[in-house]
Amino acid sequence: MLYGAICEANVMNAENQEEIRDHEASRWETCAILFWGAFGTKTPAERRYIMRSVFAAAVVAAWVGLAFSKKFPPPHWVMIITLLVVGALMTYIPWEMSRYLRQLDELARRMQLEAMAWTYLTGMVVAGWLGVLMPLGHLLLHWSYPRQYLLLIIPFLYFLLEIVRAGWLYHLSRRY
Amino acid sequence: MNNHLRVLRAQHNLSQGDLADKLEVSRQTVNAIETGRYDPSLPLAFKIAELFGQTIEEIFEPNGNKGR
Repeated sequence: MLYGAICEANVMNAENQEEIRDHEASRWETCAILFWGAFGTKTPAERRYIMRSVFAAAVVAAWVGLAFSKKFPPPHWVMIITLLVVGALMTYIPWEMSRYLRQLDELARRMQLEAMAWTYLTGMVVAGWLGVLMPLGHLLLHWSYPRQYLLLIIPFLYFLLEIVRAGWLYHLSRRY
Repeated sequence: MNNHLRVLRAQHNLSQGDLADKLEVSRQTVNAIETGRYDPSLPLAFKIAELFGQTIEEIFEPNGNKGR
């Protein structure tokens, strides 16, 4: 709802000024870049990528929520299924993204790949520090956590990287 | 790299969107090429040249040639 209100207003304003700004600004859709990590071109490929990824993520989130809310910690077999479902999601979304990337034109693909390259470097730093801070927290603060919590870190890291990628994409969209 | 794409587009009475459709790229790509923020690939440069019936050298020139 919030996304719709902000972005539709943005698009309408942009269309009113299209003739004035035709050759002055590239008008990459900032909302789509920051919300979805896509360009808001509303092509069939982009719609498919966003719709299917969101649907898959919603199904997995519903499953994880159900699995953890019934009984905590969940039974052994529920943990196994949850791990497999999360793993499948982490494979499915990048696969959909690769299909989406193949449909982009050369500049859009270049921007996406450049954003991913910078995200990879940022991710190395983030992962490195997480790897240091977790045992450090355990050593210094005697902070311990049940092993089940480690499962929650996987989607957290994924979404963290998606935010970083969207940030880099936004930065690149200002350049082109 | 400098180019005369904007002038050519105006001469042919095309909007950025029209040209983008003909080249099968996004409008933003046409804009980025026109403003010199993005240098197109060789296949796209050939496509542009073919569309306007000119050679690549007539449309694009290196920065060093500016003012010659």
